[in-house]
Amino acid sequence: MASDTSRKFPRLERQLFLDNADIASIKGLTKRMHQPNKKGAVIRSDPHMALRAGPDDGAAYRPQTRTAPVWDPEAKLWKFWTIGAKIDWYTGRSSYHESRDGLHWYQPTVGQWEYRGSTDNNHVAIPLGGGHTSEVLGAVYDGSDPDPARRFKAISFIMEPDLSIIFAVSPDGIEWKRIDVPAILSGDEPNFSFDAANHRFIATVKVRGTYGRSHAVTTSADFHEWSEPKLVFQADDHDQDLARDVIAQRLANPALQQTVVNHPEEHGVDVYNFGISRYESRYIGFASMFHHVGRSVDGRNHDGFHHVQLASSQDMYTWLRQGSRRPFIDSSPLGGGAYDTLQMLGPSRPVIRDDELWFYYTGVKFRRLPPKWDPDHAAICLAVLRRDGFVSLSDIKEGGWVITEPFLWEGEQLFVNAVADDGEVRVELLDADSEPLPGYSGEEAAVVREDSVRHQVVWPGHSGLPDISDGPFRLRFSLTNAELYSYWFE
Amino acid sequence: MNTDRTAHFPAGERQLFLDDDDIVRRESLRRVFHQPQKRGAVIRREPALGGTPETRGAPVWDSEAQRWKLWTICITPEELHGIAGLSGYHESRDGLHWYQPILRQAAYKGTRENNLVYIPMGDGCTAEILGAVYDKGDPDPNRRYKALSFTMAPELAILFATSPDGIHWTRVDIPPIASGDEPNFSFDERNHLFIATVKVPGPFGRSHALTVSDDFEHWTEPEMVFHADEEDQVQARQIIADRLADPLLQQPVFNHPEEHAVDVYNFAISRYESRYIGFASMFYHTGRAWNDRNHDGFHHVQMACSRDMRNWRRLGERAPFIGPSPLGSGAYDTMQILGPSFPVTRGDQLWFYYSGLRHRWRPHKVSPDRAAICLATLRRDGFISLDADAELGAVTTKPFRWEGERLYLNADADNGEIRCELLDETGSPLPGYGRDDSIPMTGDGVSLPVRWNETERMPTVVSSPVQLRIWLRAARLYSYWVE
Repeated sequence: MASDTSRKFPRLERQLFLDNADIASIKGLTKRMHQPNKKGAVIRSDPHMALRAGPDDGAAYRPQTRTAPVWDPEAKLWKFWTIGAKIDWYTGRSSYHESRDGLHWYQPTVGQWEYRGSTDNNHVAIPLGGGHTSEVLGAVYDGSDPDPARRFKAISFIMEPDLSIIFAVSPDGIEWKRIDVPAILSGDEPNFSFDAANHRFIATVKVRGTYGRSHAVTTSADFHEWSEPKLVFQADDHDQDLARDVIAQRLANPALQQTVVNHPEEHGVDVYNFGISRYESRYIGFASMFHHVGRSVDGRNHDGFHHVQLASSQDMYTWLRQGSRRPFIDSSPLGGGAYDTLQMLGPSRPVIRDDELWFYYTGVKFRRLPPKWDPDHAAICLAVLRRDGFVSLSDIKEGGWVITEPFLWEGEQLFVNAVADDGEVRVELLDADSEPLPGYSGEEAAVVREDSVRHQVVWPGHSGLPDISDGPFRLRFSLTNAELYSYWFE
Repeated sequence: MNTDRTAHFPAGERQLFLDDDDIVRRESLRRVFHQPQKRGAVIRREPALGGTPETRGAPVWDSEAQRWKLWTICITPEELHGIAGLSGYHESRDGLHWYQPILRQAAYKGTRENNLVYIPMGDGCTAEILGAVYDKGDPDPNRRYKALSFTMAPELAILFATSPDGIHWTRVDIPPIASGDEPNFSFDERNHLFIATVKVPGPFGRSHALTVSDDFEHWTEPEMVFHADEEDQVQARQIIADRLADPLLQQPVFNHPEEHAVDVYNFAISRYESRYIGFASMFYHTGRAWNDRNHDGFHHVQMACSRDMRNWRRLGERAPFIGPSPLGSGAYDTMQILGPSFPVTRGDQLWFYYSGLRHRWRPHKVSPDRAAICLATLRRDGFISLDADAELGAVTTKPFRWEGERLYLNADADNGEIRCELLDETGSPLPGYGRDDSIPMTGDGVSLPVRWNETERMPTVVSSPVQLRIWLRAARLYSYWVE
């Protein structure tokens, strides 16, 4: 049969169930979003990095981040940048961190910038000229750049002459150089990632939307020419309805950190930050949903709290909200030493660590400071999820199945990521008309009966897959007491 | 009056309110027991090394290296057949962020690219560094670090070792002291006394005996000093019932109500200012596991104080000093908690490093990342406060002599006020040091100087001891001292 499909899965690209675009029919299965397992704080305030943001602020460095660690294959280290406070309006600095395992981080002395009479610190910054500097807000590693001086690429945020994002490069993540491209207008919450598979740099910039803070996307293939920012993500009416319930439930829950201010007539939600990144065959977005509970006494900004929600997209412009808009990362209860008890600034992107996805995000114990606040109130937190573990298909009771749309593939073997150690996943190949393929279906179906993020599917009568020239084909996964996360070809 | 019994406060030694020994009267003041604030995990399992990191020590500051150093026990004895104990060695500049230097000391899983250290025991056997202290007063630089370890062969016992740097260890050639598997170790620097506790059987199970040494060579015969009692058992049944009914807390796998009870898993003694303090890891057993070898259960860390390390007063009516963290916060101390060995004084705070484990008997499909070294911090001297509400309260001390010139308080009075007066032995105010002479203190600080209208100093010429009376309104008092 001649191929009439444009759907061809690249080798190693995992196909998840974030949306129904690749699903032809489904019965008896339910889709479930999974939250990552929290591990607590991994970078805290650093007494040796005391910065003073203002005359009323304490001196402690309160780390936040809008990026994820990157692996430097030459140094064989994870590298990470946090933001804490500006020394003054014109002097933005970041704190630079290294780790061998991504769990235990230290602050190496890099000797770049003087602070309190010494360069014995881990300050890094992007020089802006005239003695001014800006922070390293989001950074990526581009191993494909032929110029070793441009392997690390970053965005930063400046407040003059206009609120906007700028760009910089570095050979090592420590010494940064601003590149000469026009700044892009943005509010103060941009985000940045690198889609290595498509060699595309992705930035979001904060813009005004229907319900306040919203986010536009701009992309670049060469880190030089950037597309016109386009609004892609904002809160809607349904978010506002949900927010009133979410806020009411929070205010009634003594196990959670409470806000200082509460004005019910101002209850609402907008999108504080939106980090977009490529994950396998889709784009994913982490939306830091800011639930505002009331303007504080100075009338300038809202007190409130965040949930991190998850969305997915095929093109970065149209987004599907996951998990019925429930939190992907929720507030931690009080009493456990957690920092993500009130404000949470979501992960920029997941870091793949073998069988897991690691999410680094910012947790802050307060927004409006209560009396006698603890200066140690912000940290970089870690949460860990099964690889591909955002959404699973599982049978509601007594089994169910899903049939994919027809597709072609690159590769010789099929793999699945599934939990089936107390049940089974039967895997069948069907032709484009959904008819069973002899030798790959019915009694001859492959059966998975283990819990594995990478299980090779083997049909009893065949050493490999059918000839792709006979395709396209469909897959039918039949689940009994099992969870299916993804499938792919190698 | 027998002046021999008069307290004599050395300069700078803080006097807390852990007991009433130094007090003659307390009026309209509440004694409040404070828990430290948790900061979460600071050392986790390293994927390359495996194991479940625990500690029975506290970090020590190496003034030459300008680093904090800490030893964890992370390799399970089963894995190494009980003949080789290895410890993880960790360094930090700030005590918050820890890293694992590559030491190339011990082969493990086919490589020496790790941070493992050990005490050589001969015949290829090694032992862990279970608890270590830094004795900067030792004239021999090779003995500045001193450690206690635990061995299972030929008998369960503790042994001792020294090191110049905390990395290279040499066993001290003295007879081992019989002990169960949960000893602890500290150094009373002021009295130059090494303090070890060893686990022994007691009336309600795991109990603890004390042995001390002033030269790290000769140790006293272990003497039982701390065990659970009847009141603990009564309290335990309620604590276990409350926990089993609380869905916010990690639950044990096994529950056999007829076996509900408590004993003392570990008991760590250390000097704190004018007293000894003890951290008791109270183990609430909920039922024997299927293999009948040991109990499932959970811990609370309770606190006690003593003047002599033999007679202990339980603090906070046996309430947890460190209790379990709720689920859902990323915490590791949700089930088992092995209490701090001793507090580390960091500026205005006390830092407590302790072990947290998410399970005892492992449920189905448990993550190997199940243990961590956790940190909790407390205001300096902040174990117990005397609190006054809007009504005026006062505490009057017994007569004391002192060294030093100025009186200081650790107190919180920023919503109220505190005044101090000095009295002679008969209770009469000393001229110039009366309540009306005292300049009201209205701040919140761990070292607030006391001032009178005419002077900021303690009397220079007094023939007899004085008493201190501290008046509080809407304020909280933690300690007082002269320096």
